[in-house]
Amino acid sequence: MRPNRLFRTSVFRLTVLFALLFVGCVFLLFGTIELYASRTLEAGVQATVSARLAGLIGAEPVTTPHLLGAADAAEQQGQGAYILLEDWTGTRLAGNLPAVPPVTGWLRLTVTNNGARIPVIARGVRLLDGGYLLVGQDASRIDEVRAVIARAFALGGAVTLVFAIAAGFLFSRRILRRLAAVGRASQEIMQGDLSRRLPARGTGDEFDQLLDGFNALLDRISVLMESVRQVSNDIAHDLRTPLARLLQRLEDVRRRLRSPVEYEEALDRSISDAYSILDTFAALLRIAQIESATGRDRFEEMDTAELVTIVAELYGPLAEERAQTMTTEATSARLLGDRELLIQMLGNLVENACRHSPPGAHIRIGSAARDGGRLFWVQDTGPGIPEAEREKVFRRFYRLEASRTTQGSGIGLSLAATIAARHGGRITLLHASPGLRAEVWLPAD
Amino acid sequence: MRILVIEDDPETLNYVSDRLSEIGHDVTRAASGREGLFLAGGGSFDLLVVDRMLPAMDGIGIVATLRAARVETPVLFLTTLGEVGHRVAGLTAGADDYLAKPFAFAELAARVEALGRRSRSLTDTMALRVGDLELDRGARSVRRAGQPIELLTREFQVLEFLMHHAGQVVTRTMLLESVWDLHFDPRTNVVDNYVVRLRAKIDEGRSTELIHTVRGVGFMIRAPE
Repeated sequence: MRPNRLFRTSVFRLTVLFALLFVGCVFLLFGTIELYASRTLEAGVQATVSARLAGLIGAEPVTTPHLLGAADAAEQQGQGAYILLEDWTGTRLAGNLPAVPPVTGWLRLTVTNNGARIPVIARGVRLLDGGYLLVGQDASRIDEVRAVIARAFALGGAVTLVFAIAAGFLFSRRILRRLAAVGRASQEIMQGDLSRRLPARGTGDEFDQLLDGFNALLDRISVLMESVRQVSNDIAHDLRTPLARLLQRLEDVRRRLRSPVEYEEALDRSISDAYSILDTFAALLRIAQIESATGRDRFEEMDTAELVTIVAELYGPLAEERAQTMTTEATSARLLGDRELLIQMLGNLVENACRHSPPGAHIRIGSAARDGGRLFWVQDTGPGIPEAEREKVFRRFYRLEASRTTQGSGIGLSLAATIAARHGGRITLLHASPGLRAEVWLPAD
Repeated sequence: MRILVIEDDPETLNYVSDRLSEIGHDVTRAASGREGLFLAGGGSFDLLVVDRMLPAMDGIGIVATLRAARVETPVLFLTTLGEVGHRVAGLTAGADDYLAKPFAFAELAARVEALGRRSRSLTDTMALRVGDLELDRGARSVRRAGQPIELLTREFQVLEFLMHHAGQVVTRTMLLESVWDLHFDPRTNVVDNYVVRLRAKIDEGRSTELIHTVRGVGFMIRAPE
């Protein structure tokens, strides 16, 4: 990584921010401790000075001559004690401090002693006769302690800084690595790999939750894309054939002059062809609409037995036409769903049963509560569907070889499966010996 | 009947208008939503046939505006491959009927007739009468020439709808929609079956037949002339 790219990365910025924050904290701590320590030490020195001053002048008013002896004695005391006595003219009379202008109150001086500069904290008082007494104490301890504190903090701060940088780097890299992985994955998805998903770690943290949300979004998008793709494929493959047939017929009629009856017949057949093409088209669109629909605002409560009854009522005539019998065996149970879609779903199954069973066949439609949901079945005594074909019949326009000649577009089962899926259920085809049994299981709500 | 057709596709506009004129209606054409709304606002029409999808101002907008202005002219929506959700939206907006393109003209004509009659006057009477056939909605009873006729619930509903539209053609889809509340074609003879049963109970053995089949379109009940 080149340096200027490094500076632009979030890792770098976060690390610097982290380090600055740590160092700032260390400085704040250092400042507080330093301030308190030097204040406390200074107060101690001042107490010593005050005590010594009190020892010299006592409670009574004193004059310069009184103090000459005492000052000498105090000077001899050592232990960093300093004293200065001046008369009213400012002439130095005694003591181990250089002459200073007579300033009363606390003051700080620097004394040179054997080449070493010693800080002194002192207090000056005016005497009754105009003399001046200054008592001081060596304060170099304070500076020593402060230097120790500063050294300790410099070292501690340096270590902290190193840790802060390391922690900041690791911490930000961890987060940013995951972000980068997400970024890479989304790049790949955008480039067309719609099956790719964002890498969740499975820990269930906020980050994972976010990714799960995005993944769910992607799932939905690919379902929709697949649906669109499927519809365009279906249209391309399966609407072309009947359209081509229609065109052929029209062109054929046009080739030579025909009788009005022939024209009429050709027109009638063409119109009916056009309608059946439109029916197929509508069914395809309907599947696409159902597949892409979400939400349950069209769901209502209904009774399974009523549903079975109405389907039997609607499709009874079809069985009758084909000399087949139809019976219902429905138990009443509550169900939440789209009434019209469910009627259409069961209707398609019944229609299949009727169309693919021979005259005289018996068709049973029923419902029952099962596995916490509702089970519907449509059973016939027809030829059934070979095991190997059972999955394929749900494909759009798929038709068994044996049923090529029977009426139908090959879209009914596919629509039924779509409707079942829309309700969170599924269709299973079973062998009924003899015949086929189509079972639809739907969750109750 | 004075009908205003609002449709932006010139071919559909001409087809619908010409055919409606042919069967004796007085048709006015509007090629855009704005023009249509302007004309419909006058309120001198018996029926509006409105394309659901129009550029600039769509069918729902037109109906909502008209209804807000208290123009109660019945509206029939035309729509491309009708999705159920759209139908609901259209009916909620104040349309009276809904027909998905492509449609057989006979279907449109029957619905136009049914809506037009409704707009003229249809007091919801409890008793319907066609010739010597009487239907009492309250008692759910049917009599012909004074003799009671036993009908199953569904048969009664079909007869009620037919008698409600006496003298008009009623299509299979109209019956499926209003009696069965279904908006898809089950592709079975269920409607014909009920009509056949009704005919057996009402017309069989009588000198005059009331229930007639209109070939390729639907059914009609009417009093003998």
